[in-house]
Amino acid sequence: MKRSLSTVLLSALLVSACGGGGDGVDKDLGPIDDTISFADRVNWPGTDQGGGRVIPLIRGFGEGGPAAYWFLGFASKRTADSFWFCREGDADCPLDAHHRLNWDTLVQGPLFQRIPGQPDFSPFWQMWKVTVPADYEPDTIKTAETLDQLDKDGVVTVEPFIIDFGTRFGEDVGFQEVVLHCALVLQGTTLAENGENLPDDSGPMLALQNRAGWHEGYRVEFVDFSPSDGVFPESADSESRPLMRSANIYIQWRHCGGANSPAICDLPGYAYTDRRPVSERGLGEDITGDGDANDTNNTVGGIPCKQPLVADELPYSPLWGVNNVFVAATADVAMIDTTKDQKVSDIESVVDMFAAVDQGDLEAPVKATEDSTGNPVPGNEGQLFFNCPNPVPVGYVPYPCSDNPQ
Amino acid sequence: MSGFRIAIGLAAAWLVAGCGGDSGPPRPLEIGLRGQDGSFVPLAENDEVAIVLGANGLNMIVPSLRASDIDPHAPDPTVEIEIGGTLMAADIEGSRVDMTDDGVGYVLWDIRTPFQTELCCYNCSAGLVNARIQDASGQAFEGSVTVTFERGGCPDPAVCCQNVDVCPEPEQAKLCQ
Repeated sequence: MKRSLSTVLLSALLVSACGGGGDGVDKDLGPIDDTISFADRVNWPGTDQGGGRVIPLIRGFGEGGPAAYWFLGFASKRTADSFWFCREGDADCPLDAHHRLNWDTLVQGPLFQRIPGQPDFSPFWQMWKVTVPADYEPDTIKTAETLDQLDKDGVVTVEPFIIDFGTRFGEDVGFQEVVLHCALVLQGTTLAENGENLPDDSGPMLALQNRAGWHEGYRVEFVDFSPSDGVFPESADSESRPLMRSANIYIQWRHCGGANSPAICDLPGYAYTDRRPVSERGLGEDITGDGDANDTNNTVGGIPCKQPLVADELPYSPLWGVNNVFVAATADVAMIDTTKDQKVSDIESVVDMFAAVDQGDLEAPVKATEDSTGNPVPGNEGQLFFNCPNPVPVGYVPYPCSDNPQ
Repeated sequence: MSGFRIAIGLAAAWLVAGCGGDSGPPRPLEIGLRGQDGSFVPLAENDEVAIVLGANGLNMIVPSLRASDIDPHAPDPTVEIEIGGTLMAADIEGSRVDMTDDGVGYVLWDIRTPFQTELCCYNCSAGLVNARIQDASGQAFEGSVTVTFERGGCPDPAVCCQNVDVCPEPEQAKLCQ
């Protein structure tokens, strides 16, 4: 254990606005949404639509074919603390054998120590297991203060949740603290196309669910990504606390202004005049003519439960380190802006991409360190990260990967 | 969705921002943009303002604010945009910086103000930009201007919604032809 519960909860109490109920039962302070101003909503994922807030599904390419990801905005390698309540002696809690949250055994909604907009928030959570006695009444504990008090009183025990990850994509990982991906969302937020067809038309995607938890007595809603993402061991460069593992995403761009300036350079509305992203989202319009504006030629380095095709690539993680890749000014590379087909491109995988780099058709990837207005991105040692989980097929399990059709 | 009506949103924002002193009525606040030469260019009624895509995936405008006789030390700005009766954008809460003297007044530069709706709900639409600053003395400064948001010229039929449900209010959706 790298940190004691007291250390964690002390830091939580320093930022918490409200205490417990005084009698060992925390009050339900209502939905956290009621405390959030319109301006603060921008820190929560999604955009407002007629039916509520929606998290867009963006199309790109994976290991040689169409892929997709939900775009939840900026993210960081840091983790925040979350507490998961289990009965004494229940070995199937908090995770099932497939490394998914086991809602059949979890005693109550989790406690999240941060919410979006707070300085140390992260959608990647270090898991702490709270063991409660048989007579514990669910949702008694809704605040860090009460959890701390009941821990001191010996009513509950709180420990970092550690499991044996064994060998993972060729890496001998072994026992590690567990990091979990749960996206806190405003009430009723939905994932676009959740449960609909996968981007390669191979079948329906696994529908993910919103669940309920607590933050300092307030009710919070979150998307449980554990059925698709499973859980992760801490990153190898973790120090005083776990860091989330990341993978790479490659954003394809074209130079503008040369003699053979590509057609997308004539489209209006992008901040820079010397470049254009091969991205409908970036360009603000439907360049493939398929009726949506969510197609891109972005290429992910890994997909869930698959060994990356390139030896140096990191395995799938919903936390993507952003890399920019430019088509060389003199090169003729077909991408979705020229094929006019989201499923057809010369760059459909990192294998394609690095081959094109070797041929001089693409410039070498460059890590993104600034946002679109040229401002440096704070934290993350200067690198830009996005939270972009991938959908998976119905029947998929995140662990062990060998249980999925190969 | 009707939950983000301007009155509610502004009341909440003003309550959050307005906990300071009792310093009389608000003084004028200019809303402008950073010009090509780096100078402050005030926005006039019905001007066009460029939309840019932020790295967080949200489109935004990046206004600047200018006021005279203001304490320039790390003020807390509020910028909100209302279109058709719906709040659609608000500034990102960032680390506070000092305003800088441009010879006319003090300027707070480049306030990133992302829209929280899809582009087809506000591109080529007129909207009211409301801005407020409360300085360290508690004095409030307020301004507003109605502008048209555009990403490269209007009309812009390439930016369109597939259906009316994409926008908070159906009448805001510019449907694809």
